[in-house]
Amino acid sequence: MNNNNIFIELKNIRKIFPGVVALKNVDFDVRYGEVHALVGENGAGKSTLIKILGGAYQPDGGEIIIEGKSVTIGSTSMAQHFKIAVIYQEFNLVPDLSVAENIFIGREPKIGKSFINWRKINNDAAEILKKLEIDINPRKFISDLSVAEKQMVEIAKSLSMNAKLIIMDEPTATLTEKEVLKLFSIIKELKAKGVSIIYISHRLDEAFKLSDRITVLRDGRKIETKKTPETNQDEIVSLMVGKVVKDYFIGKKERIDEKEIIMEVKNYNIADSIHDLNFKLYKGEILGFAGVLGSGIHHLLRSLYGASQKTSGEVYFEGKKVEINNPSEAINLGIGYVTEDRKGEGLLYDMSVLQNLSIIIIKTLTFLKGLFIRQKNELAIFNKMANELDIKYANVNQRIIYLSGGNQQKVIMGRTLVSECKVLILLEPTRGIDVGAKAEIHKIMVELANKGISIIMASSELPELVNLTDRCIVLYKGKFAAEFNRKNMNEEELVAAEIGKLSYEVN
Amino acid sequence: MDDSKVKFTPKQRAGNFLSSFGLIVILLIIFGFFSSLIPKLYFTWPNFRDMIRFSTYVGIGAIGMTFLIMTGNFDISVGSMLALAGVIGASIAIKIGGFIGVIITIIIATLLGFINGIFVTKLKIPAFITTLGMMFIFRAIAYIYTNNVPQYIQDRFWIFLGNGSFLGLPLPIYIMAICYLIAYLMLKKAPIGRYILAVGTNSKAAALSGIHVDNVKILVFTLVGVFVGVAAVLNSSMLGAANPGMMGDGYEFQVITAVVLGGTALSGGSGSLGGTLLAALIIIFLKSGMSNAQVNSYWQQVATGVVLILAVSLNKLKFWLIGQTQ
Amino acid sequence: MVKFLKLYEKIGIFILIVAASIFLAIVSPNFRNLSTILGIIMQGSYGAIIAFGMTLAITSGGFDLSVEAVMGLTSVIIAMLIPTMGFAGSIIIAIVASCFAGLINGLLITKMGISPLITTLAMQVILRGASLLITGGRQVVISQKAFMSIGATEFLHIPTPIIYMIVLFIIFYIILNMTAFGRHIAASGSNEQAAKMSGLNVSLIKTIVYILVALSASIVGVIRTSQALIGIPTMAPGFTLNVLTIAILGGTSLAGGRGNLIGTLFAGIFISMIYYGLNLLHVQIFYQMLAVGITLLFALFIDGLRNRYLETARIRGIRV
Repeated sequence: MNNNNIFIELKNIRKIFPGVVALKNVDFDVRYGEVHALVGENGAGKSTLIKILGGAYQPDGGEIIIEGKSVTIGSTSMAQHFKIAVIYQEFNLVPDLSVAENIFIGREPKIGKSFINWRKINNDAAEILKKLEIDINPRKFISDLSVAEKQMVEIAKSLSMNAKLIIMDEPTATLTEKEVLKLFSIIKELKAKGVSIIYISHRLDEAFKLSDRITVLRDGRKIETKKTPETNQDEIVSLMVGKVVKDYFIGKKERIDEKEIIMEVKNYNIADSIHDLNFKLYKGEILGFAGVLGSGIHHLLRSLYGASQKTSGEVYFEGKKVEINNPSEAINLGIGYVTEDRKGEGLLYDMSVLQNLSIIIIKTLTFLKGLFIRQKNELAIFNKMANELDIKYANVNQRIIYLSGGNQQKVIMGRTLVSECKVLILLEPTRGIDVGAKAEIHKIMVELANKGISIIMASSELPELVNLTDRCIVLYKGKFAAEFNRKNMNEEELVAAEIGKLSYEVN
Repeated sequence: MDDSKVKFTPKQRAGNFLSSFGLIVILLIIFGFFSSLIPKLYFTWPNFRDMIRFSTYVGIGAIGMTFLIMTGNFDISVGSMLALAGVIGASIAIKIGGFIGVIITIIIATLLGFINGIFVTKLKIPAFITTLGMMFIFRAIAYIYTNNVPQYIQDRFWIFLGNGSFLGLPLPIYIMAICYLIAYLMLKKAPIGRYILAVGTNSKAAALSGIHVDNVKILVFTLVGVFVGVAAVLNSSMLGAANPGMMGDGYEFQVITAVVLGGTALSGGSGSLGGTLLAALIIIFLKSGMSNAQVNSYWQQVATGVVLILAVSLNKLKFWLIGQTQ
Repeated sequence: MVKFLKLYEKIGIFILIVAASIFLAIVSPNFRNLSTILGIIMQGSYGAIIAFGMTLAITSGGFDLSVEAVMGLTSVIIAMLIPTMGFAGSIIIAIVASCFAGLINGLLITKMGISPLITTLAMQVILRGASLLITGGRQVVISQKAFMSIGATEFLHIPTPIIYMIVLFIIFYIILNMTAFGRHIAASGSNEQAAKMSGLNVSLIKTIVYILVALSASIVGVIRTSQALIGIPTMAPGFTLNVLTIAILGGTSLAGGRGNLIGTLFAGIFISMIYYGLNLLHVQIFYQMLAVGITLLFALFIDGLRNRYLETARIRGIRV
């Protein structure tokens, strides 16, 4: 291989976060004018890798070589200096500035030392946009643009810096079909100009349409780099999934014979995320939801709990039509919810373990008409739950942030469980916790289901879904894509359905 | 992972010490300093008694503000609220009677706090600017209501509340003790205390736990009013008059300083009533010391500003030491 | 509705001014002559000038509550120094001292991470105390009558404060809308994270903004001192509220990123019209306080309404 073709090369890159090795000795290179797809399941290390390339993270080991020279990318502005541009999912655009200003922010063409040359900045922007065949007025404000247009502006911004490498993180997640085609033609043009692109996507068909090579990451390791024409989707999927590490609880879940419906959702719609969804939930069932970014699952589950608004649709709970406008109404019905964002919207940092557990039911543990807390009852309930879930803590007044991730997650699950819910919505129940604790959480889930509690679970870890759920519904771009049951569930088909390659209902 | 043992680094220990004993140390240093500097004026029972009596003015008003700042909000209208409730209550006391006047004062202040809460939560306007506007509106109404005439109060009940004593201690101390007891019970023993803490520490998590975050915030703004109402009665009682212009001038500043110095994080979440009480004492001890030592009153004013900045910096230091990033 | 609110942001203040003008023209015959109108504009210029600076601060995502204390500081420094240093020297020192206070504000906010509320509230108290210290609590009379030429004279029959206002408006307008620096102010307030990722030095930008606020307050301090010929340590109590009201009423959103200096200019005049109208009614000064407070709440109400509407529109999936 001719080394002169290579723009950037990573050798032995390692990145360690407290308790987790995010990247293990990854080798990776990108050639001039190449589209290099980077694929892998959630947690495989893709985003860590691009953050290292973008200067947001520093690697703990290994070497980065750009155009033959060993370099350090110490900051985001150094990445710019090396002509590397990263387009993150959440764009780095300033909503109240115009398109042209955003493209040239910090590098505006000026008259003299300080005055922006408006004619030039708009003309230059128009020229770049025209080159890309993007029809956006450079004088428009970013806040008036659609998501797709914002993305085009990000691309134009990268080009204006004469970027030699553009990294696109899930660029199509929120685009329509038409916009995706537009993006593809732009990528092809960039390629023709000699710009290299790292393309990250959950959607394999896109990777195959665009890329020259595909690199598969799994568990922080590089599994393989394949030339695209020499491989096929099945091979890539099997590389992505790999051999399942058997760290999951495989307890026998009792079969549910009597199919008693506890909850039913009809014609459910949420603006921009869920379209005409119908499903039923049976008593004592674990129902899984699978889907990649843009599937709308999180919006769906949040709105079922009343934490966000639906646009239209009906929900029946125990046979009665219900309107759930806020979490408090959901709790009163008997619906519990455990967030995937433990830090952002789960933990009450400044409060104790005890207070964290009892917050939902505290108003029922009172005397004198709700005036004072019965602290004995509170403690008794806490002890019971701590025992059931095997929560480890020093004392009940210990602040929750001093617990490990697994124990924090148990407290937050316990918070919902003490409210004696009939339906439990769990989002990514084992995200960010270590293997042993994962198995424990799974065990708890099965026990709950055996007791007759219905669980709705969303997870991006497929083995978790395959091992735990009775049924699994796959959504793709907010629409029903496929449904699996215990008999026919397997990771390959789940992945295929998640990325829109499979669309049927299995009975 | 085993979480049954708590380990602290030396840094965290320093932070914990700072948050537990820092205020007592500061209080003792200030008291010791002025006692040795001007023992005859400062280190006397009457002065000590007066200092504590006057501290109730800031101390009681700061209770509601402690709750409020715990939820991550501010109210800078408390000075004007104090004046408006004070002048209306005083005028009622003059016309009808002290007891009714006291009730009216507290009701008015409560209502004003409630109005603040509605504006901030329902219109989603930042608290600082809403309450800044209210600061002027309340003050203006106080002027208009009284026609800028101070309301001199002779009502015996009213005067007694601020100046009487019981078992050798000034009555305001008992009132303050009752207020702190009620606040303590609310915070530690009642569900609402948990809700306040939960909203302050992580309002999203609180909302997902079924707490109506807006209602909690409105309640807390209202509580600010309740305690300011009590402080308004004591203040006008001690001074013998409710003056629409002078009353509560700079009060918001003292109250916020007390809360922040007391260790309540400006970003919400953690806070301590004990800290607020100690900080209110520190402010009065310092003020009385400077006055008795004949420090120019303008220097005192500069000092109060510097103390606030230092208090915030101290808080930042504490949270940095404990390793809690907000 | 969203369209209406967006339109309001641009021209709402003009509608208010036209309405107020028609009202005043009907009730007050005096309003129809030029000198009255110039008088109203002059009275509005003080608030407007500081509000130019405040508009920048709000655009950058902050605000400054210490402006009235900066005016007082300027006033006493000039009064104390004029006898020895003359006009130019005393004015320069007063302005430099004010800018220094702005610098401290900026550093505390950006480097120490203390909130603008606490920082500028504390600065307000500190500067007021310092001003009182400088004069020993007195008001200091300036005996040099010629000093009045700065703010109490006319140029081409136009009161000089109006000239200053127009000049400063042009300068601030150019800074905010035509220079890279001004656009970076908007960027910092609109999306600080993106601004930082784009390599902008947000701390420096914000610090300069706080200096500019102090500068604008100091200039008004000079003008007012020249008119009164007295150094007043507690100059213009409550003026900060006026200034904030003007900026917000002018359509500058508290959310940051969108500064509307034209709106600020006319909002300053509008507030002055309210004062004039109230004076016609011979009401006490307290009613003016009340009126400004209520105007502020009205402006906030509109701002809040806009944010609420945008949020609902987002949930319902309406493109705006």
